[in-house]
Amino acid sequence: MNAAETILELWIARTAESYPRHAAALLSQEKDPFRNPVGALLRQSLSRLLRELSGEMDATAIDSALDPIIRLQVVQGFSPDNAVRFISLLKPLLRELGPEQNSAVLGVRIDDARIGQLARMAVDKYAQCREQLARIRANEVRRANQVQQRICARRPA
Amino acid sequence: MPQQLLSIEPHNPEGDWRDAKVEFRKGTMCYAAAPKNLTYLGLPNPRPWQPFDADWKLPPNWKQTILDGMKERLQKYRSFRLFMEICVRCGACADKCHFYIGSGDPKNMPVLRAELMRSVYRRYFTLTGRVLGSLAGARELTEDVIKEWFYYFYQCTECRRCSVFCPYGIDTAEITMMGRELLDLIGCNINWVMEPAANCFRTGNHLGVQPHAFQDSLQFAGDEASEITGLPIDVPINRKGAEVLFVMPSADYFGTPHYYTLLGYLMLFHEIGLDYTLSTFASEGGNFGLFSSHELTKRLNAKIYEEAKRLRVKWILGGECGHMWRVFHQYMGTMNGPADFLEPPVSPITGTRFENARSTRAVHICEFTADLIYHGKLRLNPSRNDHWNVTYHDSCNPSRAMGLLEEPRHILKSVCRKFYEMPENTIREQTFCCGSGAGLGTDENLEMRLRGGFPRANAVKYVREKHGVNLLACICAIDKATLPTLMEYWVPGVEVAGVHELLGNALVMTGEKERITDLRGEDLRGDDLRGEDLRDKNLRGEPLTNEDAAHE
Amino acid sequence: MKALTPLLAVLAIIAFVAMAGHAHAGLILLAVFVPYAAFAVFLVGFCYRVARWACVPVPFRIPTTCGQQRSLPWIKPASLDNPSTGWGAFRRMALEVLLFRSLFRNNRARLDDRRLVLGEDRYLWLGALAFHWSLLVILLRHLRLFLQPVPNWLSGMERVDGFFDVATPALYLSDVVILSALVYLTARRVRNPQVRYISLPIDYLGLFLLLGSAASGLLMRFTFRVDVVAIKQFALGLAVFHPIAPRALAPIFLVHLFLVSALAAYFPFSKLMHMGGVFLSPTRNLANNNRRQRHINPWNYPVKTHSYAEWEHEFRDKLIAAKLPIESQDAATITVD
Repeated sequence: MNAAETILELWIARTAESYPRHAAALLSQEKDPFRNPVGALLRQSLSRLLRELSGEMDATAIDSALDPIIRLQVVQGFSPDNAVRFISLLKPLLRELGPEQNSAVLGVRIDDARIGQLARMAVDKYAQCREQLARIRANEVRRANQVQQRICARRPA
Repeated sequence: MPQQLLSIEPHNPEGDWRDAKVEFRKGTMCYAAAPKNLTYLGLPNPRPWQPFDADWKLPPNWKQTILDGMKERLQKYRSFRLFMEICVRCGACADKCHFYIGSGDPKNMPVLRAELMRSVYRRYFTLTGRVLGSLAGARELTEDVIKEWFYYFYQCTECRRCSVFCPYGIDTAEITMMGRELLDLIGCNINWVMEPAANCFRTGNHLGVQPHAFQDSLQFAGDEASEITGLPIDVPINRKGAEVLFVMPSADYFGTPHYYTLLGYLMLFHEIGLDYTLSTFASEGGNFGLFSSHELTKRLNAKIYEEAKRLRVKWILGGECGHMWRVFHQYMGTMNGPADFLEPPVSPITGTRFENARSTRAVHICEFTADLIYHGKLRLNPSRNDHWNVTYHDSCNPSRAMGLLEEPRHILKSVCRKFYEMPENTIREQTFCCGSGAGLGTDENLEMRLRGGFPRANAVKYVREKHGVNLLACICAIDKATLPTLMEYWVPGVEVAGVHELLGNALVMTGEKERITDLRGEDLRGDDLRGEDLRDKNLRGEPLTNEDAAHE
Repeated sequence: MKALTPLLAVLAIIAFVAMAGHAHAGLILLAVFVPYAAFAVFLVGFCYRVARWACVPVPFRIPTTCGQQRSLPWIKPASLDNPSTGWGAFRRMALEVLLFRSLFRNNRARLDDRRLVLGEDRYLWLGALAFHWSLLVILLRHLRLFLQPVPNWLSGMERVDGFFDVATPALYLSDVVILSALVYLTARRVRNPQVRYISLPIDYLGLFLLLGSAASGLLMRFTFRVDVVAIKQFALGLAVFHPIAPRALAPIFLVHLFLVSALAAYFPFSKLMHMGGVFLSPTRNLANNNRRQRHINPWNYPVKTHSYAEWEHEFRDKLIAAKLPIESQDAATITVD
């Protein structure tokens, strides 16, 4: 395991720990994406985020990597603070690595500015998902009596 | 790489599941039943209250009521007594629950959901529990335990997936059903179950649709089906002496996408000239009583046979619905049979005797249609479904309480050309629940439902990415109501449809006009669509099939 | 730690037996009274529990179906996982009891290739199967002590079991397997975070008693080399209810005997009763022929329903307005009006 992979594994493990007691073990250990979709999703998202953080910081790529993890945490009852906390979990890991190693291992040095930018994007994503929840709630209610609405629309009483 | 980073200990779980405190928060719970619904049904302790209230206004003797209720059920249900006693906590079920997978909450492991009740059982009904106490996993029945029961027994969709993997077949659905029956005794139940149940008792269906509105809806559907096909499609209602009584869930004539399935049924029945009738009294096949108690199940189910008898039909045909079929298949004959006033069902078109339904005399529409297709009685043009890349979601009850697996697949493979299965450990008997069954599909519970539905959505996402799936077919009314929501959030771009909607699209009817739209009223451009599909394939660099080449 | 109390309990038992075995009165108590009492408790308790289950009715036929139903003649039913006849249910139970079918189902599909990967839970199946089968073989082997002459099938089985003749006396395969399986199952309970979390202290008691019994048995055979002839003589005496008061028995034998007795006596009060319960599970032992053959609920009782007549009475005006047919005479008059 190289250092970048180690960072990733630790990041996944620490993020998994923010889940309810005893879920963490399943989340980080079980590799079958259908038995443990949450764990698979964390792994995929975090590895893509780490790649972007130490590389291009491409906004579209970050957005698509952030989307599933934030989307999940929104329905799992995480407050906005808690939902983006996984990003700040990266800081102490990088600090232990030391600045020179940081750039040597990961290519580009991941500094607080990059992490801050990621956190801001995560907060935005959280707000978007919350709004979407309200929207799909309304859509569901609309679908539930759509036939009646169509009848009314077509045959005014 | 500094060594200390590698030496971090894995997270060690701590604490004990026997701490009963739970937090009720909007988004992850269901509202309490309104008193008027309990009063109408004659159930105990109607009162205004909500789960997040500190005081649940339990009756003064609630504890004794629960314990007496447990004792009674231990003597009436072998399943209950056995499942309280033989679990060895091997953990095979632990990661099989969609709610556990999606939420990570350990009390959603099926074994712990059951232990919530077993711990009380041990304390009051076993020697080891009385003597050894917490060493034997026993605990006192307190008000907090009641709240915890309410939280977690209304966080189980009774889907029976865990039961498939249990070496003793312990079925959490049985335990949840007992838990809910016990909670009913002290008036702790949810409105999303009790209101439909009360409606159903009064009007005949969950939505409270009265006879004239029922007729309106069905006539409207008949008119739409006529418009699409150019054929006069009648909808017989309350007609005595018809051969078949057709019963469907009420959402089919009220909500979408259920409604398109209804159009499919009507077109099919017209094409084969089925002598059938619908009923305004038996206007609901679903049975929310099942999510409350066995007694209420029986009370709501009684109307099916009563109406079949009154209308003097020969047998019953049932529409696409999940828990309705659990009741029809596993409970109806026992509860309200024998159906000796009916005849063993025979398909009037193919002459097939449905031997598997010869006692209950109720046939599933998928069995009926698959038989028609197998005998070549339907002309089908599957290319009319070419705009759909279809996958199939096995609904919990038809798959794990019945085994209806191949019939819908036979129909789907006959009516559409692009059908892809989801991964094996997410379909058939291992299918993942939509997360909204057993009365949990209410909007105040949306976040919990999205957690519970995540494993299902995840499998859909996989086939969407791999095969470009854009339609999730299913045969359950709750699925049709809640999977669109699930897809909208987790896998945008995937629609939900009933199997008979796709059949209706593909069905070539005698004397029909050229189809301009599908049942959803969307343009069917025939060749254009086909051309677009080929372009897509070229873009993706996929090899063309012989069929494609011929088309070009 | 949850495992501590049961561990101390088992160790205390061992210490007590080792000390008490020296006195003559203690010897009689441990070698004669305890085994009889334990066996009686086991027999009576086991039968009582099974009878109590059997007396509770099965009001509904609720098999968990794990494959295609038998419906149309051209669809192949899964006759083992979704049996439609009593014989099918019998075979399903046989598969469940003998091969632990449901635990085996615990597979994992790996992406892209269709290969099944042996996951942790397949190990659970393997461990459980290994443990239960070797326990059965060991119990059968013990019959040698109670039977004179030793039947041929038993000697045959021992020869197969002792196939790996690497030590003297012969090392039985079943001994190796049961110890490994028990160690694995215990380790799994302690190490797997989910299983550790759901485990109760009492779950460890059965494991420790079994481990103690197996270990003491092996020690007796290989380390202390007890006098097998004397033990057989003693066992034969027990079997014909004419116990010969032994003058001396090796303490290790007494420990073994006492642990097995404790296990037997504890059995009917514990989850170990799954041995009997598995046969009675209504989600497994019933045929899925619900619509073919009516299942009777012995306590089926009439319930309050909303009859058609009451329903029509309530909605009569609406039915008439919608020109839907009605039953009652008075309503018919209104229609004429």
